[in-house]
Amino acid sequence: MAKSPYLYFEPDRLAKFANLNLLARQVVEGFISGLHRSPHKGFSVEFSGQREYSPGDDLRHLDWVAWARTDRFYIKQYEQETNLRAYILLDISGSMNYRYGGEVTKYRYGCFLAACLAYLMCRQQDTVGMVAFDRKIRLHLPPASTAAHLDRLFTGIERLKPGKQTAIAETFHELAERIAKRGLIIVISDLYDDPAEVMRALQHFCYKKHQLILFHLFDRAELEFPFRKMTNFVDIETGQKIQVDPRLLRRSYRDEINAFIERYRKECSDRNIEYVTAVTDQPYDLMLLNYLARRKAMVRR
Amino acid sequence: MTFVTPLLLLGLAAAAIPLVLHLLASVRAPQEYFPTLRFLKMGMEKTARRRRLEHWLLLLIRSALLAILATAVAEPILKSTAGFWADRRFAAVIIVDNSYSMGVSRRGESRFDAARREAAKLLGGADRPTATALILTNSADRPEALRSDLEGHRRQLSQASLCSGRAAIAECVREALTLLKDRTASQKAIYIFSDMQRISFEHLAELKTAEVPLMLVDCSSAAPVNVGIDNLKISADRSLGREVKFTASLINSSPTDRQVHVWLQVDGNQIGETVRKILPAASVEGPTRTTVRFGHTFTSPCVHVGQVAVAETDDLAVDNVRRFSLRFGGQVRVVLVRGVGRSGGAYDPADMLAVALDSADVWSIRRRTVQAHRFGKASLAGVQAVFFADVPEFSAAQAAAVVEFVRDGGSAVFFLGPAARASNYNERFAGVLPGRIGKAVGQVGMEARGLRAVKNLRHPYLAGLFEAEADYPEIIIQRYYRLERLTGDHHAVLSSPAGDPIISTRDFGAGRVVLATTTASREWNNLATTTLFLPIVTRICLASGERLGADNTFSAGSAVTIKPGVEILGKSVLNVTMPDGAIEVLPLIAGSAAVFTKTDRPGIYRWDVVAGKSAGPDRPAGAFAVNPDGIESDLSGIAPETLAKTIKSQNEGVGVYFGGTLEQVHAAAADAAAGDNLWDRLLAVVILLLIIEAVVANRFRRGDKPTPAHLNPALAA
Repeated sequence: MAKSPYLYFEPDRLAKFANLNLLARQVVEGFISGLHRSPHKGFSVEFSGQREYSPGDDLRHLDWVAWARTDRFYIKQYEQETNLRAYILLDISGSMNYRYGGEVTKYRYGCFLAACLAYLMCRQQDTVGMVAFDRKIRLHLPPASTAAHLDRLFTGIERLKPGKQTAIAETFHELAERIAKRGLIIVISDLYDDPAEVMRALQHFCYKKHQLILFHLFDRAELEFPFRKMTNFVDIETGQKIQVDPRLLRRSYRDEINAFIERYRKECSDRNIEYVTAVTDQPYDLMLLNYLARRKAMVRR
Repeated sequence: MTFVTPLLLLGLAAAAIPLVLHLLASVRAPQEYFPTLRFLKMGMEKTARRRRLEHWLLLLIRSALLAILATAVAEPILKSTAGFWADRRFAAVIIVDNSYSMGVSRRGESRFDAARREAAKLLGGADRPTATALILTNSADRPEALRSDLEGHRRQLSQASLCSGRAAIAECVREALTLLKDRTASQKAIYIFSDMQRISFEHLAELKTAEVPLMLVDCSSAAPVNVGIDNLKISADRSLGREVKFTASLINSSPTDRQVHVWLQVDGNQIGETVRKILPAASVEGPTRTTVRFGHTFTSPCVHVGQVAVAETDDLAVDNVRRFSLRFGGQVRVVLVRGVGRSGGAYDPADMLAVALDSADVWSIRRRTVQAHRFGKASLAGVQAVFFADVPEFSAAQAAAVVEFVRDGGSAVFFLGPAARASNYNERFAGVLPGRIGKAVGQVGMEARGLRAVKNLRHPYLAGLFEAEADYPEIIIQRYYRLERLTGDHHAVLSSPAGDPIISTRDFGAGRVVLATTTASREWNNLATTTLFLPIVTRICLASGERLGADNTFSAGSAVTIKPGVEILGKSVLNVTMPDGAIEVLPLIAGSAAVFTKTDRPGIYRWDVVAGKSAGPDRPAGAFAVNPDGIESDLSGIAPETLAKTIKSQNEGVGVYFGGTLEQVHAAAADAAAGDNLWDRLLAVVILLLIIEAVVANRFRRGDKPTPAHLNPALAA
């Protein structure tokens, strides 16, 4: 296998995705024929069903065979296959630039994940766009599916640098307004913002008829809080310090972060948003493979 | 609470260490970047109160840990009345003083009664030992092991009586320690019930008590009021028609001076009376003493009994009377064994001895002479002394007879001479003579210069013969056998200027050996022709008579050998009438002697032969007197505090508790059980606190919830 010229794109890791397609659970409209069904019933190439004729219907779609059999007028309906229009929203705030003992930071993990998803979608003729943000939008690539676009996308990710503070909700509201056509929104973030505001922003996407997939990234240390000695903890984003005896606070910390995760899980479930937690000590390809396998099984059902 | 090493309490400063560490840890905490502090802040807000409590609790526990550890190292002593008898496996040895001093009575109760009462309390009380041994200080019966039969001890105690002699408490404690040594009881003690008489506790402080506590119950309720007779000396020169001198030593143990009437009684008749005032006992020097003298002339040849007594009653009655028994009028039977004869009076030792023995008019000496070759065991029957005049040698049988004779109380007097074979003497009488007979030294003859013998004027054979030393005649010795390898127990009467014994004595068995290494004639010396020869020979016989019963006065508890003096034929028995009128029947051993041991009670014991045929004209009878040990009249006591201090100075760490009653002693012991070192218990508390600290400090870890399944990579896969 040839070595990839891109930092965050590892083709050998994607070989295992050969038989999997990124299937949107919800039909979205697209402009390239693909595997995604359009929600717009009309008169296209794929027969979908019949309905009774009503005055004003185009007579070109009258089903004469049905009239011959039943002596009634039916109008033929068709379903159109569309291309997926996806946006990958990558959080590059300071909190993403964290690792504790692991190999990669959440930021790098997110970059790998974004590149992988972009490649997969481009390969199946879906258009994919890219937005990187912290307090502001740092990178915005409109959706496309050409090889040149993919090259721009990979290069753009490589040029990114972790930022400072986060303003997730504001950014999402802004994007929800800017993305006109509905599609698939893939969020890769640690979501360290006010959960209520974040959920409101996500709701904004839903309101705009987007389908949402949320990859919530964690370092293992964030979940388990393995520290032992009295420590001065410094907030990466704000520089604020706090002295803590981890042995005394571990339990409450873990309770809080579990509650945080549970809240996102529940609220996402309520809003039909797919919520996926990812821990950086788990290989991203393996995590993605598991997710896609589960998703495929869900669609077939 | 007190501390063994209070200086170590400085370690309490260590209690501040946790606080200092806490502050230092705050300052030196490492820095760690973290994605968000929101959950830490939320956790801190929610657990602030609990964490503050836990912080303080941990700080408190850790500080307390160090403080208790420092206190434990300082070995605190807690005053507590629990303790001493907490463990019921309690082995005790009870020592009860039953010497005569315990007979001191006040208000109808003697010290011995009090001792028995207190000891009985111990045996019957709630804190009674589980195993005991009872030692009566003046009893010959000694326990071999501790036993749990307390009722037996109570019975033994109630039947115990006072006995003569010093109470050797130290010896008893040593025996008690031996008894307790192998005992596995966790609590051991030695109880001493005594009147704290000073002489009873001699050498106790030198004893290593092996950390077994001594519980001293002082049964002397108050200072005694007592004047006793602790000794009665009777002059040695006792003979009919001459005044016998009695010297009684009076001892006052009272805190005040005492005026007493003392009288002499002989054969039931009061002979003399005198009044003495004795100063009070000094607290440090002990009791004061004075002497009273009486004189009496005995005229009839028989056994005379009598006593010197203090008329006034006091706290201790037993030492108010001192009895005696003297036998007058009996003949001392002597055998003279003639060795090689010499021609001519002054040069024949046997002749010279015969003249000396026969001329004694102050003491009836009945002499019988036998030739050396005819001498045998039969020659010694009924004889008190035997004189050997230059006997060349002895057969084995002859020597054995002589040794047995001396062992039984007779006196054997050897005068050597030119014929004597030293090797034969050394062989036959090895271990009996005062030394080994060596070569004869010195020249004999008119021109030969003799040695001036050195006289030992303190020896009873020479003492008091003349008023001044200068009046004693010169003894010139020309030739004598040099004695080698002298025994340590010989006494020289005459010796050469170089120290070689000329005449020496040695007690052997119940009798005595007198060895003259020169002749009894003028052949080798001028002794036989001086005025010393007759008294020496006479006193040798007199001394023999004394040992055979002339002065029949004994200390209580001693074994008395009764010799009728004549051979009793057939099955022979004698009766001994005790002071209280009870009669003891004794068999005569080989018809010649009996040994009587039940002499515990002071008084006059009379005996008479009631079966068997006497070889003499009369049926033999006699009497002997028994007196308490005079040392018991010294009632000066030792303060328990002083004794305890002395014992403790010699035995570091041993407990000595004392009091007037058992309860007081137990209270003192309980007070000192204070002495129980608490450091081990404090260490136990430290360990407990360590456990609590570990639990408190790690409760978060124990309470951690497992990672949710959706975050667990393994489960998620």
